[in-house]
Amino acid sequence: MNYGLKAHVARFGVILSNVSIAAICLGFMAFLSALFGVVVPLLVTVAGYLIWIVAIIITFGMLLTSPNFKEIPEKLNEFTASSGVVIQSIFQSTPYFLIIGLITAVVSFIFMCAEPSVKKHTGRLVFSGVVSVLGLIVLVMFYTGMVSV
Amino acid sequence: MKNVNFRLVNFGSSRNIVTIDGEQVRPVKGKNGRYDVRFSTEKDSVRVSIKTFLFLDGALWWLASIIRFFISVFGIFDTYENHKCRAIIYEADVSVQDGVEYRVRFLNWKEGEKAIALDGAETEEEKNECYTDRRALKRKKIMIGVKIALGVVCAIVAGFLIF
Repeated sequence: MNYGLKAHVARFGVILSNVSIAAICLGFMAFLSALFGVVVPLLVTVAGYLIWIVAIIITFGMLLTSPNFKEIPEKLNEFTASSGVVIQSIFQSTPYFLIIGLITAVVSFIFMCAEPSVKKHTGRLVFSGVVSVLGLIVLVMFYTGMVSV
Repeated sequence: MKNVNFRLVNFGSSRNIVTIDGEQVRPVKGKNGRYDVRFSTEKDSVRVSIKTFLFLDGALWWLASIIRFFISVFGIFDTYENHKCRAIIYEADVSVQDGVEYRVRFLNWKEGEKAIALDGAETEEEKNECYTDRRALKRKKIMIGVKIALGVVCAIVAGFLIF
């Protein structure tokens, strides 16, 4: 492999490492919120409003010209208010977040090893390695029924 | 056979490709954050070339950019490496002696000024310049437009699916 290809592969690795960090955070947040039940409803509400704001910005406010735009936040509120369902769905999707985190961590570990420059990515490599092991343990716990959602 | 060492000062974590006599070499990290390039040659002078690698400079830059855009979830998880497309280029014939360590100092980046100072060796410099890669910069602007268009399309599609 030439320098350019290796550099691109290494950068993909760094991006996947970022994705794995986010996925692991989401996965473990839902996992930990079994202990701290406040975290998920709060995050879901905040995320709902953030999505709404981002949608307005992305559409340059054109969303507001919609005749039934007032109904959308209400629907969003209804959606976030039904936190029990949302929490349940997030709990249920926890293994998927962990799987995404695990796969991206493993792939990013391999990709970052191709780094041709003097950058070492030591922290990311250690994180990916630890995540791979921890994620695997948590997944095994899920599927053996030691932890249920 | 001459054993030569180039000590790279202020090399940092830059993506500079170092080649000696056309052969790419990877600097090795030494003590105190310095980098060394050790090599052996039978020649009296070697051709040293140092050039910055830019992600938007390759053949399939557009494909790599689009793949990166989607892998990074619409650029959210992307890294911003050298977004100003600043580069250096250095090409010179350097006279070398056995067992001597030469200091290759990477100077602070200033448009149009010298990029590298090589201490303790006779050099015949052909290129030694800091520059902004205009082509990469133009490609970057094109990709910003493409990414915005792709983002808007994806947002509209997502909007239709959600609401």
